[in-house]
Formats: sequence, structure tokens, C-alpha cells
Amino acid sequence: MTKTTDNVALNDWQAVGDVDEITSGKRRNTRLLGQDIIVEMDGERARMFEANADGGMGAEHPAQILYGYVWVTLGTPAKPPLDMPEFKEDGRRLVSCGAVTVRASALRIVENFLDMSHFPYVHTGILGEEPVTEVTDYRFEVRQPDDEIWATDCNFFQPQAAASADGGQVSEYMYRVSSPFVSVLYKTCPVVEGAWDLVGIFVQPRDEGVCDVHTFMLVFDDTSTYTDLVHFQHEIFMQDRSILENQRPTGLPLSPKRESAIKADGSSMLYRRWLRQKGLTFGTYQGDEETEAA
Amino acid sequence: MENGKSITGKDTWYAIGGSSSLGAGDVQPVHLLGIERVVWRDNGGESHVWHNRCIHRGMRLQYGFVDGDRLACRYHGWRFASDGKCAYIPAHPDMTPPDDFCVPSSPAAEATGLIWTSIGTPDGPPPDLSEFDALTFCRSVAINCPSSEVEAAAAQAQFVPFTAGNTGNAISSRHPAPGVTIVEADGGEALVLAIQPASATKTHVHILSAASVADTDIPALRRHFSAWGRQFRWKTENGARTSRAESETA
Repeated sequence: MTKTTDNVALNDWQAVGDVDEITSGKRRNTRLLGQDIIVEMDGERARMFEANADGGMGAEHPAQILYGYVWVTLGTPAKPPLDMPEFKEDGRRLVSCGAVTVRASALRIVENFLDMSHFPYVHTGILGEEPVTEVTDYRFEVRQPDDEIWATDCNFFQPQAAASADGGQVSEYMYRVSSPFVSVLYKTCPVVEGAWDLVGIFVQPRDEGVCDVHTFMLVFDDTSTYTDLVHFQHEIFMQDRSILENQRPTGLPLSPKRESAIKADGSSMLYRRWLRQKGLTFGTYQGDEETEAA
Repeated sequence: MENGKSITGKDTWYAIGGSSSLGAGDVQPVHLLGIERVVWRDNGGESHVWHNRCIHRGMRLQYGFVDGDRLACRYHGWRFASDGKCAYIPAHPDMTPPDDFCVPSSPAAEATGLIWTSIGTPDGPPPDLSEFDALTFCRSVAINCPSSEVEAAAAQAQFVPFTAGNTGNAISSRHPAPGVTIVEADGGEALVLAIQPASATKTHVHILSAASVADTDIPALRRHFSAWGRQFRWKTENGARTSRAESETA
């Protein structure tokens, strides 16, 4: 495809890599919303250009560095990227887990990130395990003025909730969706009482059905090595990928009639409604089900 | 819904594999006329063909697992009873799933050692092969050609009979039903080829031998026609490539 015409997707900030992946003075070729782009570091400053058909540099677009990532836009965003004050807290480690390519819609990826009821089946023995499969009631809402989805009071029994966890615990989660392709979760820290660990996904949609997913952790953990932390996150994410690449249709259906939902899907249904109200079409299911099934 | 309105052959029964290739508790993907289905066998031995998509979040059911007489989706563990109705949702263990939580199914039948299905609504049972006293399922081969090319190759197919007294010098073929070709050697030994149009570019051939043999010879019979199947695939793919290249240069 060529660059999307979906203004909801265009007028937003997207992360396209952590700063360590982009060597100063070297161009990095990647793709965003159907458009080939070039990202480069110019001293301490990030820059982004559309790539022409011949590979040359075309129109320049805004770029900025935030939370260790390069954020860019092909449009004119009405608001900045999400606010995460936890990045300034002492004692936290920022662990960038790199980018993983997933052949799925960005919206299916975010929806899966919000979902707890798959833990016993997809992350068996780590984030959940039969017979403790119940999703108890939780709260979900759109918070203004930032227009963000928050799900709170989310509790789930987990055999091994984090790399640093020693045995099972009931983890409490909060989930936050700050823009259609960006989500962060806050999870009971197994080490520091009363603190939250953060895990986030910045989804870079290359095309409607292909994304690079940038995952990070911002955790209190003095004992695990960087490798341990990345391995833990990658194991979880590879399990998710095996699901995400096998959902059909590829695009996320926004109509509540298209796929069956239960109470545990409250945040997912709110996410779909929120996307519908924004008028987002990129990565949604629009077609005829018969051709999609083929 | 996947009604396949405009698809040629949608109301035809097609074989999708050997009954012996699907054990109790097995779940396998099916490709038929470019459409995806899933076939699974419950622990009671009955086979089921369903749409390959969970009604909840669209996950392919081919990756699910069989739990007694139910199929479970890999994503959230929803259990579906043999009639397709959702029977249990682990996230809400006390909830009775509503009646409309149901995976659509396709017709499924087992006859002559094969599992048969149809995308649409076929009239009557699968093709009648009762003229043969014994049919042994030997193997399935996947061929990277459209079914029209495989049908043409099947009509011309030769084979060396397994049983003594059958010379194989004179071969005749007939086409008693859509998707079925019978090749007969001089002396009467027959090979039944059940042809499954998987997609526009891929075809599966399920090979049955009508040779009358003792039980102890069945492994050798399978090897004989398994080797034949590999050759048939090679000849069909290469023959089709050659004729396509010729028609391009002509």
C-alpha cells in the first residue's frame, strides 16, 4: 500500500525505534502507515523524511526524542505523546526490548495487550494457569481531558508475574491506552511494596497488517540482568505473536456485532467504541468477510 | 458469513483427508476452494468440520485443543461442544454462554476411509464407491497446481498394479463424481483419486487403492502407492510448468 489517507492515524505521534538503534550519521530506513521513511540522528536531534521511490530523501516531517525513543509523525498531531512521569523517578530501570515484527493489525496488538483472560492459555505457567482463570470485575473508562482509556482494579493470579517474582501472586494491573497504537500497563511490583512496574508497547504500523512493536519495561529490579529482563519480555511477546498472526479477519472489527464479547472484554469493547468515535479506519476490518476468509 | 455464494463447487462433497490421518483429539486446518475450515475428532471418535475462526476474537481454531468431546480455542480457552455451541468460558466460570455463541459448522461425513466435507449444502451423501469390495487409504499428496491441471493429469495417469496378475498395460480412467477419478488397470485393479481443490494454486490428492490384499500386505500396499503419489506430484507439477511455458511462448 501507499501512505494511508486516514487522518486519525496520520495526525498522531508514533515511536519508530529506540535512540540506541539509530546510529548518529547513519540513515535508518523503515516504514510507517504505508510510507517508506528515513530516520536519522543529527547530533542530539532526530529527523525524519519520507523516502522517495528512488530511495532519496523527500519531505521532512516532525521528529522528537522522548522516553529513549524517536517519535515521528506524518501529519499534524493535536497533542504530544503520552505523559509518563514515572520516567523521572529514581531507582527505575528502563529496559528497551527492541522491535519485533508482527504480521497483524496494530489494533489487534493493542487489544491483546489489554486482555487478561488469555493469560492461562497463551502464557501458561507464567502469567496464568488453569484452574484459576476467572477475570473478576474491573473498572474501565475514558479519562478527560487527555482522552485516554484507563482500566483499573484488574486482578489476576499469576504463577510467575515478572522476571523477579518468586512464586505465585495475585497481580494488580492498571491499563492505559493513550492513543490508538500506544499502550502502557502498570503492574504490582514484586520487589518494592506499593510501587508499580511499567510495561509498554509503542506499535509502529508499517502497513495495515504488519507492525514493528517496540516494547519497554520501566521497573524496580536490581537483581535481574538486562538479558534476563529482555528474555522474559520476549518469551511473553513471542507467545502473543503466535496468536496475533492467526486472528481472522486481520483487521479489527469495530462493530460490536462482529465478534462475541463477554464482561471480561469490557476494556476491549471500550477501545473499539473509542476508535469508532475517532473515525479511525487504518487497521480496522472493513471488507467482506467471505474474501477475508479465503 | 462465509456462505461461498459465488464459488464453483461449493455444494460438492470433497474428500479432505484419510480418516486414519485424524486421530481422536487431533485438530487440523482444512483449505477447500480457497476457504479455511478446521477439522477435529472428539474423544468419542466423531469428526467435525467447522469454520476456522473463534467467534470471540477471530483466532484460528486449528491451533486449539480437544478437551473430551469439546474443542477449546487456544486464545482464551473457550470450550465448544460438538454442535458448535459454546459450553464454557473460563474467564467467567459460572456463566452460561448464550445460545448464539456458536461456531458455524460445515457438513462432515466419513466414508470409504476418507473424511468428506463441503463449503455449502450438498445434496445427498458423499460419492458412492461401494462398487469396490475393499478400499485402502494410502496417502495424501499436496500438489502446487490448480485442480483442473490435476484432474487432467489424473485422467492420463498410469500405474503399476500392486497385485500379481494385473499387468497395468492397458489403463482406463473414469470420473464418476466431481472430485473423484478412478483409474483402472488391465486385470481390474483400481486406484481411486479423491481430488480436493484447496485453493486456486494448490490441490490435495487422496489416494485409495482397491487392490484386494491380506491385512499383512497393507503396509507394502501403502508404500507402493505412496511412492506412486510422489511421482504423480512430480509429473503433474513439471508437466503443468512445461505446458504453461509452451503456451506463453506460442
